[in-house]
Amino acid sequence: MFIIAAFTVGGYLLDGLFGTLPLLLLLGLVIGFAGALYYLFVTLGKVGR
Amino acid sequence: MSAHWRLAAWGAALTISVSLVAAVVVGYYFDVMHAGAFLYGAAIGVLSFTSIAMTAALLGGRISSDRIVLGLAVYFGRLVFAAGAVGIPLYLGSWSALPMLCGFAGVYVVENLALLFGASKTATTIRRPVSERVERREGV
Repeated sequence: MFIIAAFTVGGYLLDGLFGTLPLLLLLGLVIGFAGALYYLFVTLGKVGR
Repeated sequence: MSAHWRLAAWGAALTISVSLVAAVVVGYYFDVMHAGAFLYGAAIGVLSFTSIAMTAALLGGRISSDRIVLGLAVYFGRLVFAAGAVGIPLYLGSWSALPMLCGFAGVYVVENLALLFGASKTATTIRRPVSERVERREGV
């Protein structure tokens, strides 16, 4: 959840900087979600071992 | 690669192919903005659906309270992600709502159909070696 929020807020701030709302906000949301899934995948892989 | 991963990859590949063809048709009959909105909705749908397959594979096996909590967190996280990814552009009026929602919903329709036919085929393939083994034992 933290990863998703961090990327989304980061995207929103960059959008404010470049005036591209909502492009980078959505990009941050998508990257954050994919990153959170990857983190989950790696963590559960370690727990399963 | 196990059977369910192959099935998920095949479903995702089929959905992406169908989405690309549909986006070309939308772009031809409407405009590039509509096609882009359609592709965006389809991409969110594919990501959301892939996460279902991934977490189902990860959380399978022995059941523990940690795994149940993780499963619930991923489930609600996915809902929040889908609501945000589709709701934000709708709220801001960034691009057309209808093609984006059609792309998102279309992924679920195509994936479900692909998994329905794929799962029955996979089940038949998995069952076959067992019956062959029984026949071989009877022969001995």
